[in-house]
Amino acid sequence: MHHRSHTKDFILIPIIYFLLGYLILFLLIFPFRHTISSAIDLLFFNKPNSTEESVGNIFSTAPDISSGTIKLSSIKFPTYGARFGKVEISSAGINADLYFGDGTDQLKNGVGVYNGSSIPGYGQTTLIAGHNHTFFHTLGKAKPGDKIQIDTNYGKYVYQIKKAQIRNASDTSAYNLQSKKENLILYTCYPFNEIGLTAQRYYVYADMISGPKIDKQE
Amino acid sequence: MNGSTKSKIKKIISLILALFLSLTMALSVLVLVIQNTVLNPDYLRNQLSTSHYYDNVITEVEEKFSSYASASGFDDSFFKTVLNINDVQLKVNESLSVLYGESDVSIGVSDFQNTLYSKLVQNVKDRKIALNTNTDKAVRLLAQTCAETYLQYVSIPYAKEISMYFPKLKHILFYLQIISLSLAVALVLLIFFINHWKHRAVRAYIYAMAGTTLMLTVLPVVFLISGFSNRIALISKSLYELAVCYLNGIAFLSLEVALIFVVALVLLSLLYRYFLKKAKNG
Repeated sequence: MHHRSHTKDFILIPIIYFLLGYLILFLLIFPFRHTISSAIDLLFFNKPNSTEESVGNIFSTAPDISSGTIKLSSIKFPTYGARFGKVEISSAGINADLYFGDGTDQLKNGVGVYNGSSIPGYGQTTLIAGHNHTFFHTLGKAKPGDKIQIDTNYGKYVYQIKKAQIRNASDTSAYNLQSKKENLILYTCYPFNEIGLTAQRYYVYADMISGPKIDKQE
Repeated sequence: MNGSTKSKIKKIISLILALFLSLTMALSVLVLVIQNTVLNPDYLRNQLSTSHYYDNVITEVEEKFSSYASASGFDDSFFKTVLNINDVQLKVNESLSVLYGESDVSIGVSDFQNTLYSKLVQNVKDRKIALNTNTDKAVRLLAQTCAETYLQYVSIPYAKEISMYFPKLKHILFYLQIISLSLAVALVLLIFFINHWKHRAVRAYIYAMAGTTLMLTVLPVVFLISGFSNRIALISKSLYELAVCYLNGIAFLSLEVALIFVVALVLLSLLYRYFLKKAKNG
């Protein structure tokens, strides 16, 4: 009986089997490639996920711009969770860092712009939340006519308080996020000293007096 | 037909049968891996421990509670005392039982809510704050909100709905396993009997097994090296680490089976040498 060496076969044939196996797998999933590709896009990021929240800070001092217009392209937009300014109401003794977003971390460290509303200068409603037991504890002391100063990483804004109201937490008519007029709404839980979670909210409404407008066309 | 042609035909048939053997073994291992991971509640329980899921859940829930503390006039440190790992483990395991159809009772957190409410009331009294109707209502709402948050973290969403598909999948995979194993045994016997020289049959087994080993190794190795699982789009740290651990665990199990195949390949090589020697002598 003739025996030839099968060394090459021991390497090549398993590789051929492996390639054929993967080819069959590829052909089986080929009709569903769009579904699979969509599922992968939905379930996976393009880069490694980081669950550690990195709260950025893009504010140190506000540039001395308090009027005129600024180009949209020249603004560094805050990402969710970033500190991008501060809110000061001297009459109520409030001085808090301003964050973009009103999640757990932001309201622990300051007050936050609801990310479904606009940033100051954008010509719409800016809705800012703060906790009643911390940064907005004295919001009730702010009266109509008082000034609210908001310094941001792109300019300085001054608002004048128009009125204050107590509304139910579920009452969405307390604010209009579609407004085409630049306005500011600050809110917190009410009563201010109540222990526990309350079903009422204290709203302060203000109109802009000065501050650079953001030119959305540029 | 002369002996050489006959021998060549037998060789080709053996190679084709070995290819099918390789595919059926790969299918069988795939089914085995799914049975021992996706469909095995103990696998998920192990991954929960390995990924420190319970500790991560406690950290996340406490972070949420810390936010409620700022909003409700309670100290951060108060909420550090309301959760313990045993309760979290029990609740998560209750939820797992629902997922795997071991229980059909939805998990409840009313006991947690009641205990928390009592602790909150005690804290209010200790701080000499009058517990009037409004305060009591606000404290109840806080306890309820905390309980809802807690439930969100310890329960598996749609566990009951998903659990309906598991028995069906189990059945399908069971029959698929029986079919693939029977087919593999039949192919092994067929290859054995069509080859007069048994070393040729063993050689075909080696080709098949080596092919399967490659199939089982390449995809998991690429998956693990590429770090694909690290890209999973989950924001919650506990769920993210669990998912990464879970997916990597499946890849590692495939590699473990591949390692068993490598050992089997070594044994087959020895058997091949033995039969080859016998053939040379005979």
